[in-house]
Amino acid sequence: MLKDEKPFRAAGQASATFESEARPWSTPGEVTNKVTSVIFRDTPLWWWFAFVVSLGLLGLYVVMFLSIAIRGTYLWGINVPVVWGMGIVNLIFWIGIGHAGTFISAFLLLMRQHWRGAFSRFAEAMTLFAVAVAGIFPLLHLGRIELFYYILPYPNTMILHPQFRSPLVWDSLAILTYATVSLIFWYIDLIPDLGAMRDKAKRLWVKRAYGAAAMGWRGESRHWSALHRTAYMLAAIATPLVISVHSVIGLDFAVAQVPGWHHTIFPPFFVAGAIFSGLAMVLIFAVLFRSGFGLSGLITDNHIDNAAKLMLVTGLIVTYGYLIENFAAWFTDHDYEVALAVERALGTYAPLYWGMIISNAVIIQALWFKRVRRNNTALVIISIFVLIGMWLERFVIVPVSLSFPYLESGWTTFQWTIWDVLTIVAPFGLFLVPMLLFMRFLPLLPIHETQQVAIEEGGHE
Amino acid sequence: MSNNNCMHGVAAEFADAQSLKAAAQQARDAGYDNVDAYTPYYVEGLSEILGERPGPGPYIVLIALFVGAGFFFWFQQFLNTQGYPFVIAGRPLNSWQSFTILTFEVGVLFAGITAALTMFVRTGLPQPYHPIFNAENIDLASSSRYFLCIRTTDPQFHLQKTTDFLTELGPLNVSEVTC
Repeated sequence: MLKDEKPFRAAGQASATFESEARPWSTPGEVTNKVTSVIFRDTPLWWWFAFVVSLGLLGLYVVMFLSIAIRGTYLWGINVPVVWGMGIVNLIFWIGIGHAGTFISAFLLLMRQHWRGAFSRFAEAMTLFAVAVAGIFPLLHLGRIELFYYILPYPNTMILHPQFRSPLVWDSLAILTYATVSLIFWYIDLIPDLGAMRDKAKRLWVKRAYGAAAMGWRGESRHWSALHRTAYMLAAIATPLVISVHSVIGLDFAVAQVPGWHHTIFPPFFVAGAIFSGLAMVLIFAVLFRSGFGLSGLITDNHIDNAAKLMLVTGLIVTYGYLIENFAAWFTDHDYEVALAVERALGTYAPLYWGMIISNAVIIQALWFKRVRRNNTALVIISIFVLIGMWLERFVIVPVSLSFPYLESGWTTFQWTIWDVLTIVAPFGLFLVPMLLFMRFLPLLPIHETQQVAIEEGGHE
Repeated sequence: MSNNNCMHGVAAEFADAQSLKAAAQQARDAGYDNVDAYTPYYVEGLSEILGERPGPGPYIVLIALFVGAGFFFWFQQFLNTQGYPFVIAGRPLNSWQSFTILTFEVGVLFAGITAALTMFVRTGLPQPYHPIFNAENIDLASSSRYFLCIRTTDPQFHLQKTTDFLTELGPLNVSEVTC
C-alpha cells in the first residue's frame, strides 16, 4: 500500500494512506484515553530539563527586553544605512514559524486532508506563541516602546491617525488580526477536548478547571453542528489571512526603494518561506512528541512523511525565489542590483549567503527520498538546517541589502553586538516556556477529530 | 445529583454512532420532537435526523465581513482626504490601492470575531450546569458512548412509555435524568 500512496488525495480517498500501519487506536474511547493519558501521567524528566533551560532563556529575554526598552536601540549593531537589524530579522523569522500552524489547521481543513489532524492542535499552539514572540519585536524596534499605541488608529481629539499608505502600519493590524483569529480558531476547536479532559480527570479541582475552560461543553449534536460550521468558516477566512500576513511583511520590503528589496516576487516568496520554516518547526515537535510521549500511533510515519513532502514543495518555491532574485539582477542589468548580487555571493556576507543556499536549497533535496522522510533523526537534522537557513535568509534580505544602498559612500557592514546575539537566542525562551506548558496541560491532538478519522478509517460501522 | 422532584428526561446510552443514529431516527418516527443527542465527536447527519435547523450564522459572518471591510475602507479614505490630509512623496491623498490591504484585514477581523460570537449565541455556552450531566455514565459521552435523551417537555413524554420505548431500541443502558 505504501508504494501507491500519494501526498495529496481527493476527499474520501485519504484512508488508503493509513491502512499499512498498525494502529493501537481504532475506537474513539482508545483515542481519548491515549491523548488524555499524556497529560495525566507523571511529568517526564526531559520535560523538566527542557523547562528549566527555557526558563533560563526567558530570564535572558527579560534582561534583553528591559535593556533595549530602557537604554534604547543603540545597543543593537544597527547604524545608518543598516537601520533594520535583529528586531526585524527576528520578527520575520518568528512570524514565519507561526504560519505553518494556520496553514495546517485552516488550509488543509478546507482541502479535507485528514492527516492534518495529527499536527493541527500543536501547530496552531505553536502559531499563537510564535506570533506573540514576533509581535514584540516591532515594538522593541520602535525605540520608544511606551508610545507603541501610535501605530494603532485609536480615537483622539486631533483626528491624528497612522499613515495608512505605509506598509509598516499594515503590519501592525495584520499581525493583530492574525493573532486574534488564530486564538479564536484554536480555542473553538479546543472546547470539546477540554470537555473530554474534564470527563477523564480524577481530582475534583482538575475537573472543575477543565470544565470551566470547556465552558460546560456537553457534546450535544446541535452544538457539534454549530462548532463544525464555525470551524469551517474560520478556516475559510484564516486561509487568505495567513497568506496576507506574510505578504504584507513582504510588501514592507517590496515597496521600499532599496536594491534587493524592490521585487514583485517578495510577497509570495515570503509566504512560501514562512510555511517552509514553520513546517520545519512542526516536524521537530512532531518527532519530539512521538518519542517523548509515545504518540507514534497517533502521529504516524505517514503523517510525518506528508509534512516532509510539503516542506520539500515549499522549499523548492523558496529555491525558485533565490534563482529569480539573481536572474532579476542579471536580466535588468541594474547597476545596484548587480552589485548587490555580487556582494551577496562573494563579499563579506558570502558565508551567510551560501549557508542559506546550502540549508534551504541543497540539503532539502534529500527529502525526495522516502528513506529520509521516514527517518526521524534525519528529518530533525534537516529541519534544524531549514530553520537556520531561513533565519539566514531573513538576515540576507534585511541587513545585507541595506548595507549596499544607492549612495555608495554609505556602503557598510553590519556590526554585531552581544545584544544582537541575545535578541536571537533569548526569544526561544519566550516561545518554549508556553509551548512546554501547553504540552503538559492541554491535549496535543484534536481528540474529537482523531476519533472521527479513527471511525471513518477503522471501518467501525 | 439533585433531588428527584423534577425531571429533565430519559436518556439511553449507545455503543456506537450507527445505533445512535438509528435510534434517533426511530424516536423521530415515533413522533418525539424534544430529542437531544450527545456524542464524543461530530456525527454527520445526526442534526438533520433530529430536525435541528442550521442557524443564520454564516450570513451574519458574511455581513460582518462586509461591514468591517466597508467601515475601514471609508475610515482610511476619510482620514487621508479630510481628517488629516498630508501629502507624502507626491502620492495622491485618495490612493485607494494602498487602502485595500487593511480593508481586507479588518473585514477578516470582524468576521472572525463574529463567527465565534455566533457560535456562543447559538450554543448558549458558556453554561456550567446542564441537567444531562446527571445522566448515568455521561462522562463517557466525550470518549466512547453516545446518548439519546428524550426530554420531559415533549408533548408525547410519558415516563413509563418513553422508558420502554427507549429500552426497545437496544441501548446499553437507560436512565432517568433529574434536573
